[in-house]
Amino acid sequence: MNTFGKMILGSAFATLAMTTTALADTTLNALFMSQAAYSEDDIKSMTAKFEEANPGITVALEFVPYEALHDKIIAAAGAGDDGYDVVLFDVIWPAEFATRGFLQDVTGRIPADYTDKVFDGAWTTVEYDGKRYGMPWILDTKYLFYNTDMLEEAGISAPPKTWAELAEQAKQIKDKGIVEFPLVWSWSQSEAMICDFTTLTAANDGTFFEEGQPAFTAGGAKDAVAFMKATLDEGLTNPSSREYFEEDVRRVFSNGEAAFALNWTYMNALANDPKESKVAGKVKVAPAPGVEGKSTASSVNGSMGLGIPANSPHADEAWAYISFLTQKDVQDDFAKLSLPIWKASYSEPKVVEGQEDLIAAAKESIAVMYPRPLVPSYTEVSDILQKNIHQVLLGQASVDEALEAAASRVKRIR
Amino acid sequence: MLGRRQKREKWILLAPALAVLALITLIPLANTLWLSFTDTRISALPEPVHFIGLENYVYALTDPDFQEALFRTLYFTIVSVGLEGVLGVAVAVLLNQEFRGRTLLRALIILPWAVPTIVNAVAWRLIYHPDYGALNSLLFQLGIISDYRSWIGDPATAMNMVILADVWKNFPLVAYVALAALQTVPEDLSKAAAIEGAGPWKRFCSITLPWIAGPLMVVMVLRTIEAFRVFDIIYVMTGGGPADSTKTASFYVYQEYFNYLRSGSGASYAVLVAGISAVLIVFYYSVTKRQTAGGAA
Amino acid sequence: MNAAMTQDAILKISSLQKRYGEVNVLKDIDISMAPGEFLVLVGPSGCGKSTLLSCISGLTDISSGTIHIAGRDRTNDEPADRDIAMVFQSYALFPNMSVERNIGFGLEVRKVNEAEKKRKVAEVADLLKIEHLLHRRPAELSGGQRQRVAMGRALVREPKLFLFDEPLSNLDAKLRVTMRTEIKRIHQTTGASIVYVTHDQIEAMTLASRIVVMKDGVVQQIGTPQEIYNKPVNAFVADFMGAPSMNLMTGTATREGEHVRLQIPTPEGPPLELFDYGPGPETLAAGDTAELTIGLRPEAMTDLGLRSGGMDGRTLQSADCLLDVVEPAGADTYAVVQLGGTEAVARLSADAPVAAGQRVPIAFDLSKISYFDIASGNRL
Repeated sequence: MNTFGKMILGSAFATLAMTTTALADTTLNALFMSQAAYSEDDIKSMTAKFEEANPGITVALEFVPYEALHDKIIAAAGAGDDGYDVVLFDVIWPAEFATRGFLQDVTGRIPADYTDKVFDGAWTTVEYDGKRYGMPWILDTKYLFYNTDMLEEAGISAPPKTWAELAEQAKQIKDKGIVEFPLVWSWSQSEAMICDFTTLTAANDGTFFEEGQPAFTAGGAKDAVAFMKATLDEGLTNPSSREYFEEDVRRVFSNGEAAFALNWTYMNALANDPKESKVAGKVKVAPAPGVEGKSTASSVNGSMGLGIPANSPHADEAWAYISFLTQKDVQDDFAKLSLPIWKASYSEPKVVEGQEDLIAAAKESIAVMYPRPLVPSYTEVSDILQKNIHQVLLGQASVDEALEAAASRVKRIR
Repeated sequence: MLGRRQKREKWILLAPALAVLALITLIPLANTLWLSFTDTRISALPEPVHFIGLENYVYALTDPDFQEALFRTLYFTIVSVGLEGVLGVAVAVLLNQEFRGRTLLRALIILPWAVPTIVNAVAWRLIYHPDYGALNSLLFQLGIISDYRSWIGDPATAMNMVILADVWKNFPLVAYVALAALQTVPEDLSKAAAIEGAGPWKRFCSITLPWIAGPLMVVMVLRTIEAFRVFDIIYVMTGGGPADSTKTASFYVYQEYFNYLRSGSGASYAVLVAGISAVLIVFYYSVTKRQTAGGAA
Repeated sequence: MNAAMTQDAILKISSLQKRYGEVNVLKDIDISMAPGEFLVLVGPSGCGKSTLLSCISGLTDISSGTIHIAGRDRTNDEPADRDIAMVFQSYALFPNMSVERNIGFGLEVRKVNEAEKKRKVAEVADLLKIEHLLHRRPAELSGGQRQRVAMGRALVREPKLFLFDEPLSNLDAKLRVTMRTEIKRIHQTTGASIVYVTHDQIEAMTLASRIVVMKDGVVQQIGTPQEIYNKPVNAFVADFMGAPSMNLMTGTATREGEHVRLQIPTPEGPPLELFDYGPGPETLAAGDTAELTIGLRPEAMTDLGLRSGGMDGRTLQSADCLLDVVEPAGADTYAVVQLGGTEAVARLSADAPVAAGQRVPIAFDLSKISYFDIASGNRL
């Protein structure tokens, strides 16, 4: 072979070698949340296992507070190839992300038999307009946590089944001087408050929108807000709740400064961990109560899914990672801070063991998970509701005034 | 005066610098202005963009929430900058006196300003914590309050507490500028005033203050511009709450752009904020121009 | 010293000392000043004159001693309470105020009523001829105008004592002369008591009713300009005051009966011989010879007597001198003669037909002669 020929062959081999290496050595940028649900350590373990099974793919993990997740995903959308390849997104965002084209449509990637094996409530997390934009991963809702010792001391034998009962039990506990503020919530002006509001609205059989118009000025939604305010007025709810997020609720409850708390799955393991909590071993879980004549339990759909941003150049590898994380086996292994999306998991011993009451509650709660409005402008709707409901809780506006103001403002959304 | 050839040379030599300036200020400014007249949205999908004239501005200015936010921002600016001025000048006067440890104190005063805004905000959040904050602890032990209370969770006090944190961070800048100006006051002036019978306060008001008014005004204008655009300290400390009581105009820019993905609208809010800042500055300048007379300016 | 020592002294400084740590800046100052006097503190840089003024004003605290102003002990009083006014070298006009407000500032502080204040300011402005400047700012004024405003500010309060701290040093030579006359005129018109600090001995001589010569924190001599000039109390004063300064020559004096023979060595040979028929050095006894410093001002070494024929051999004596350098200065001609180890300057008439290198007769006026001890410099 002449020199020229050797050169060509040489370059060809070199290019091939480089390309192969390029294909093999991929780094995925993955964005996760740093609080609630799976802990950072859990996620790092899962990722390590994935990397072992897939040599050539490394995953760069980034953890941000929930409040920053949305904006980070938006900002990265403009970063071209250097953005994220896998992102964790909240159940309230698919409508917005889908209409803006931020996430890739992965309907085709999901095996057909999965649909039945996973809870319906989980699927709504990733669906919009008939298409799926990711795999559900965190199936979460808020449960009613209660301090068994305090209830026993007050002579209460069973956790409340209705919100009215809850208020009564709280009053009993308060009157007996067991704790000053039996109820603690995450009612800061944030999405966390809307989750509680939604839970109560669901319990009261209320709706947010009817035929595109605001419907929260009356009915169940109004009752929900009225209930929230009433517990404050009666001194049952810790007034600092109006500044709290979920971590504050966990801290107060774990310090033994509250009898009841509404919080996500993750709190169960931590509140029962002697290293993290003063009330370890005295914490039990029940589904959030219902309202007599309207519901037996209530829960808000607080699930989250894993998706692939539209501008990711490594969609295949990203999907491999997502598939791995959402596998039943992996989810079953890490079921202490976040419950699996697979129906079958709930009868697996390793999932049930040690958190029987949580699993029992989960079965009820997951079945009645209530979504927040699935509209593209949800963020703005939520902001408006947050502000106005917060005014009610701070005593700056009456329930009617606030909800009317919110409704008229919502109508102004462009 | 410069000859024609030298004038041309002057422009040629200035051209690169002007080009860079145009690139980093004029072009984004023009772009933002253009954006503000459209209904552009942030999207990964191609979307049609319409020119909608002043619609964004009308929407913003007729929004009662935004109007409230503007007043709130004005309140924040005036009170915050005002306090910084008073505290800064007072500290400067103190540091201008002779006393042991003065040099050390002069160096230490820079610390609040050197702390990044976010760190400062987080630190003050902890101080204000309703359950275990240092402020509650201090006031309780001094007997000033009978019970721990919420500071940034109470709409009545939230804004003022944020202002306090902001004044703490920024007064050193005013103090240093004032101190530098104070050191240029001719000794003879103070002596003459003393002989004429002016006491320390009269000397300060009639002579010292007018003398340092020039540089002082420069730093106050700087602070006013920054204060009107305040965002990060509030975002970290209260997130705009409680019940929007600390939500300032810049929040709307952030919100429209990042939360609601309406870049056209976001641009219009940005232009409004910048425009009002400009008005404030012009107002400031004309009012205090009378004060500067042959002093350090 | 005399009338100034009575109770009526407008300023009485007794045993004033000022120390900065170890350094003694003012040593045992005793000064008494009568009302209406123009007392000038003069001396080289670092002699303490400005410090003394500052102590009188109260801007500087003293280490020991007392200061009485208009009969009252003001040693521990604040400047504002001493009933004094001060004019600074830098004028110290308040830049943010109009001339009118500057002048009236002292009255404003003392809360004098508006009408009264306006009247007084107008009066003073009229006196100083600055009434047309009342609405201007100091930045818009010339040096001379600013100086007048500064004086106006001092005058308007009619204080007991005026203190001037080198007020003319910032002005150019010509303006300085004009303003000097101005100040003198104001003094005559108002009869104010003025303490005036300067390093310029001509200013001192022309303005003062009495001069205080200072050196290294010590008062050298207090006296009228005439006294200082003609009978300097030591070689320093003799040398400092007067321009050109007094010639200080080293020579020997021998008292021989009714005269004192003076021998002043010259570099070219035989000493210059003169005979003093006046009192001569007081400490020199009959028959004694002493080496001392002989002081004669340039105007006491002239060619006048020779020309007009006034030589009497006693007060006016002539001797030949070798002229080293000849400097025509317009109104006079100065000739430098090497005498007694110094370059003595003789003041000859303007058209004297002399040139360097010539040996010329010079008339010595011995009525103005001074003798000083070589070691201490004190007058003999």
